Amino acid sequence: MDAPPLVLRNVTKTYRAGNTAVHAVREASFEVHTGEILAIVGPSGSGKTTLLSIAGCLLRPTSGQVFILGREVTGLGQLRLSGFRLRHIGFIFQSFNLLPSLSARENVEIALNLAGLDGTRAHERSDQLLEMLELTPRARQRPPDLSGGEQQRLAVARALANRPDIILADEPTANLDSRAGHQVMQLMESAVSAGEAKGLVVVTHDTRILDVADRVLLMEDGQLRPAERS
Amino acid sequence: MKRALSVRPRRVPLATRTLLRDWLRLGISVGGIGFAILLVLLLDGIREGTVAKSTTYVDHVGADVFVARQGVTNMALAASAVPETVVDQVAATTGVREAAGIMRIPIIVSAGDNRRPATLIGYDLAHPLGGPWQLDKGRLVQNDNEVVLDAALAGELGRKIGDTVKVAGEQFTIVGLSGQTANIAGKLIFLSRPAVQRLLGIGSIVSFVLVKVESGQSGQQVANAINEHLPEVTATPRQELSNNDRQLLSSLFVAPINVMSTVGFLVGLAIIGLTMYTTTAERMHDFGVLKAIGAGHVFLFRTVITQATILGLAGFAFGLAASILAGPVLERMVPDIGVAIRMASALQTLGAVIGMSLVGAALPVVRITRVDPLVVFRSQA
Repeated sequence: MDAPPLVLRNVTKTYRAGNTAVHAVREASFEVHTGEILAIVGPSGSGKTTLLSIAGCLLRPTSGQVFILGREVTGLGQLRLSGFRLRHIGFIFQSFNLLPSLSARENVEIALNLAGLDGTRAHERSDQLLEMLELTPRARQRPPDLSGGEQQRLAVARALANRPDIILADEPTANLDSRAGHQVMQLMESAVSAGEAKGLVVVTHDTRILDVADRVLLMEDGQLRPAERS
Repeated sequence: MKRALSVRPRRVPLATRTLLRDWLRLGISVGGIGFAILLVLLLDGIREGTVAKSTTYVDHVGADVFVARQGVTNMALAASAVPETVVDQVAATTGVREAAGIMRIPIIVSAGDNRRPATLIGYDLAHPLGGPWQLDKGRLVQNDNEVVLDAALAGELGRKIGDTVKVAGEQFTIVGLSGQTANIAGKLIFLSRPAVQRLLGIGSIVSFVLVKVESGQSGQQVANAINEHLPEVTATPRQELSNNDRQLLSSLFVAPINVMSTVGFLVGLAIIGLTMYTTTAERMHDFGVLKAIGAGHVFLFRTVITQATILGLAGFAFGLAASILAGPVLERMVPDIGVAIRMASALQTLGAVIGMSLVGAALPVVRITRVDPLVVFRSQA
């Protein structure tokens, strides 16, 4: 059986402010299974984004372990971590974080180029993703010329470009109206179902997302616990 | 389905796209770098062209060997006087076809209140060797009260053929206007040698003896023969004398031109550095995003260095084109100077531009190493 796309075991992140220790994340553990959509909800400042940063190999935990496809990444150096992010993790951010000087198509293609795919293969893959995300007519537009929903769909396309093992989404619907937010979530769900990504973790305030999540965790004061679904 | 024809690059040209995003800034940057390149190339071109033009008399008068006072191997800034009898002695030397003595002194020419410095050439009317070689208008001097004037000098003095100018207190009638005779060391005017000797009150003396050699003889051979035959004078072949003059005049220009070229280089460097710094600083969030999605430092450095190199090369192309266009305009505006843009100088400047681009990219590269990929979780301003 394949190793789970993402496992966090007893992850703690502590910041020091003078003599005071601030525990952003305390002993957090969870596992995302293949094909699973996991939602992490919680109030602002509860440590959700810190947890996502650690899961995405952007931040080192103070203690604990992170495994991606069964491989521990906690001790990897910066260079190997960036390569690891490129090949195994797709990111979706609240503020889209697209490159404004590139066209929609190029925003997808650059992720492919970074992973070593270029020329016709990169063109075909980016065209396929734009079609899947219903962005083909907007392929030559730059992000500032796209609506919020289109920009987030484009961010999803970029995240899926290298067929990541896990997608980490930070408040992906926060800047979208309900229709656009619903569409983005449906597309992400379809992408996981279609095997474009092995698993999805969504950090959110948006209760509508809970409808598509297979499992929901609640984060409060840096601690994770299963949430009760109404 | 109808599809628009477009060529898609093999890889996303991030550096070019980032530069093209702000046309105004790109234009200002390329213009600024181009101006610095223009300054560097034009200054070098003016030095080369002006120095080359300063030996116009030596290069065009038609003599193969120049004979001067012993030890004098220059014409520019040289004080030379030899007895007139030397002319015949030189003419009698083996290999000499023709010898003519000339007077050559710096002088002030005036027309009314208008006064200009010039170089006066007094030549033997019986031997046209030594006189003007290109007449734009009029005829050669035939009498001792006539003068041929450099055309640009005549223009500055507001005089034309048939008018008079005053040289050393005496009036001379302009009978011809010469071309190729303007240079920074003084525009040339031509009188008969006896007229110059009379003006200066010195008879039986010439400044230089100009020599044409027999066919089959080289200037060097004949110069050696003269030096052996007449030890009280020094004979120098044309090319050597021309090179000596150019080196001498060039050395007068080198220090100030080098200072100005260095200033131009530093201006270019500052523009590339500032443009790269501001472009990178503005796009620091984008670099953070690229880092977050997995771009390595090599990719980011390559992007910044490519941007700087594109800027530098575009500025160089603009500056080179502007220099080539500006040269003839400058020569028309200031006839004393020449502008010669050398290939070697252009290549040297190109090398310097590539160096400037790498230095200009250094600071942004350092900043990129420090950018935190966690910026992706902060909202953009």
